[in-house]
Amino acid sequence: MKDKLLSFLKSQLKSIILIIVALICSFAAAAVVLLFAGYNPVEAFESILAGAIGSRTAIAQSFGKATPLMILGISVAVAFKGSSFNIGAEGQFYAGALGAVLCEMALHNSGLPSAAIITLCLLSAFLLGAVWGMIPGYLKASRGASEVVTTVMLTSVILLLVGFLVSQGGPIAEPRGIYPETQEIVESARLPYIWKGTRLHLGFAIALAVVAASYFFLEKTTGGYKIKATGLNPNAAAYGGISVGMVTISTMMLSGAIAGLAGGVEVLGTSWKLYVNLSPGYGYNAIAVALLGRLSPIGIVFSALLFGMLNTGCNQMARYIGIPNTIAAVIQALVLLFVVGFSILENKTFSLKLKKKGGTVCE
Amino acid sequence: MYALEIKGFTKTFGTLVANDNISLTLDKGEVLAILGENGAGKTTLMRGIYGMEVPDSGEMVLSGERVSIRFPKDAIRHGIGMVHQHFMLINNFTVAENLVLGMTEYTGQLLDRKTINQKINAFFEQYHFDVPADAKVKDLPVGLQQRVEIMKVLFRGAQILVLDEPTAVLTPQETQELFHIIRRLQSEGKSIIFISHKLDEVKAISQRILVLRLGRVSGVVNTSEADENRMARMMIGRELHTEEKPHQSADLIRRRVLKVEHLIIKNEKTIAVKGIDFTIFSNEILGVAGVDGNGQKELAEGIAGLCRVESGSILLNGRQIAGKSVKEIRRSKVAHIPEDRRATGLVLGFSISDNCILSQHDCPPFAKGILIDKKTVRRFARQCIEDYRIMAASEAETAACLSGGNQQKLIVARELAGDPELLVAMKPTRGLDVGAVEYIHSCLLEQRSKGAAVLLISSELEELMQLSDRIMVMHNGEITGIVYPEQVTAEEIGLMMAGQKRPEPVLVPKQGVIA
Repeated sequence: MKDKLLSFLKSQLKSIILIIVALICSFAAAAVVLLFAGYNPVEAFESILAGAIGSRTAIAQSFGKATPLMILGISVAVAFKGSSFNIGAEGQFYAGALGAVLCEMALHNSGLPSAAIITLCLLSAFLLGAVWGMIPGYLKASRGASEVVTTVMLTSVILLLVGFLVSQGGPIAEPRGIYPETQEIVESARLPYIWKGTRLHLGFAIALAVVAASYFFLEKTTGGYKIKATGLNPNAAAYGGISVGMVTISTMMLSGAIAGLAGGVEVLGTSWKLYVNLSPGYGYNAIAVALLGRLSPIGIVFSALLFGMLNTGCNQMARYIGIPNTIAAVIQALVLLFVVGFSILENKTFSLKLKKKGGTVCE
Repeated sequence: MYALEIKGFTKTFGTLVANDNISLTLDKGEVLAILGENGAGKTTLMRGIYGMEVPDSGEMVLSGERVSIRFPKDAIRHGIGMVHQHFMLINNFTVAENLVLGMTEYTGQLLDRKTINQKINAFFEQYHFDVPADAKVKDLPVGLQQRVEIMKVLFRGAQILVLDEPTAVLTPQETQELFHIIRRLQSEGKSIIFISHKLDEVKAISQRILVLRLGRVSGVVNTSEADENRMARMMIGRELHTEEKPHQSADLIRRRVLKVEHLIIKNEKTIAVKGIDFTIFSNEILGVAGVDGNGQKELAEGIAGLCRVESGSILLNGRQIAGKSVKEIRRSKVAHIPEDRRATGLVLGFSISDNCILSQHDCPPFAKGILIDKKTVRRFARQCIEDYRIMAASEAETAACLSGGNQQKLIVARELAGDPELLVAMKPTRGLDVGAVEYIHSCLLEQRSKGAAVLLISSELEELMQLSDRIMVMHNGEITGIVYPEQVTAEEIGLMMAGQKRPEPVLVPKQGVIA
């Protein structure tokens, strides 16, 4: 047991060191880009750091950015565990956001207590996301249609649907008919702030709760067992009496529901309304978040935080020293490239180390 | 001077000593067999010789010259060739393309197919190997693919050939052909290391036998002086005793556990099971013989619920189970040992614990509501490991880490845990070493004594003769005969396997009273 703990710590230490090395390398590469573009890299990095974790506001903002990524990362990871490649988390996110907004519109003047409205809206987001995830799950289980294709197509469908619904004068657009967005939600439907003096809202706590719940579900319940067994070896799962088709449908449903929840949280916590560009590609970044987090709930917390900090930091840098957004985006991409690249390297050296130092090597 | 001499070869993986100070010699023109159980270190030793593993210590002497082999390319340069158990051929390439793969010094940078095919065909003629050089590898039967591998090794100039369990994938006829080739190579002065865990094959082909056990050399004997008992003792560390099925008394009361009537099962291509009828009684092992692909697999999967039943009935203790789900069938105490333990029997990425509950994960005592009771699962897994002597560091180890024999034991432990009334066992000893085979046999016989009905499907006739109360022979989806093993010869069963129907199938076991 003690040995195990030690080796676990050792392996973690290794990933931390690797991430630091990756960050250094990526900053070196970014420095070259910045120099060519005529900016002072030191100044730029200082402002990234300051923007990401330099103050309470900065930290709160980073955590806020990490919130949807964390929930969506879990969504993608759950599907992955059941060997479904859900690339449509983006679409399910919008389905959830739509669900939350529709529910809020129904309750807009109800005068219900805040907790009730929030719960109902999030539930609605959860359910609509589940429906949007279930469709590709059903098509995969019954028709063998690849979820890679169907989830992407359904993302287009929901995006266009939302676009139509919120278009100027559209069915759920704000009544003045000026902006292509919904009316702002009532105050009682907004997620409360949880850190004094900042705009960090309850959504961050919800994200952590989703992480904990997903860990519990995957590790401790029969449902989680079924998903993992099906993901690792569908033949063996079927042989053991697990209905692989049903598991595929419910996995995608669950994945969609979690993504939908992220959409609901975003609407209730951050944007307070629904519009077409609500997500700057969260659903796609979530795939990277999930993979970088090794599909483990705890790993996803850290990778989502890294993404969140990077994003806020780079935006701040762009604002402070007038670097164009595109260059900020290039720097973000460089960091991701290096971190992901190094994490692959980690696996390799790790197994080599095992061979030399101890432990059994398996095929 | 030896063709190959290995001194003090040691290789460890962590705490596991895979090879412990192994020394061996190989004469020119000799076939040296290396015999050992799964996990005895045969493959590690061979990988070491071929440069796929670098030993911790030890030296290699080739024709009197000390060499250091760190990569397969070193081995190839020194005239050592290896034929792997799983072929290293590119299926979509032609035979010639596979042979010249990577040999740019031979082909030049541009591949002139016509010349190369000619050259390869000429090379094949030397060895009387008549496969066209432009045939695609994927179109060849397994036996020929293996010979392409051998040719590939020879083409690279090998003087020493290492064959890693070459017969595992071959039919008996193909094995005989392989032996012809080995003898011919031997007469040309090539030296061969032949790895196997089958005693009879080793006796048939080798001059000397080196036995490995737990990573050490437990003995080297001349084949002419070797007797099977002694070799089995060296291999598994104790006497091998063939399990005899215990005698059953004449007043044993038997129930009809499984009654199959007019069963028809289709697979993707054809009707695999064509309206068959049979019954298995309690305390009985019904063996099923037949050449692979004559409906045995579909029969087993049909009973287990994994394959859709087209029509007919499957009655378990009088209750219809045809068309029920796998879960329902398993609930009615049907256990199933599948044909392929890695592809079907286990989730290799799961721990031993998690594999132990594959079919029971949502039943008590393992599930409490929607929760899995990890403590109970671990306790059960430890019990399985102990009861079935599974060699594993702990129950948290993944199933992929276990050797083939231990993987199979894990499946058997899981399947027999619920005291099944019907056990469907499909090739339960496939690819296992003698010790493990013996153990699985004793488990099957124990089920028989406990009152279970066992459907044992096997391609090893000997196994069926030894264990079955009755043997049912299948050909082309039909039953060509049901016989008592004592009353037939292997040849007669062979004829039935080839499709010759034997009238008057025996419908009840010999001893006992039918309830």
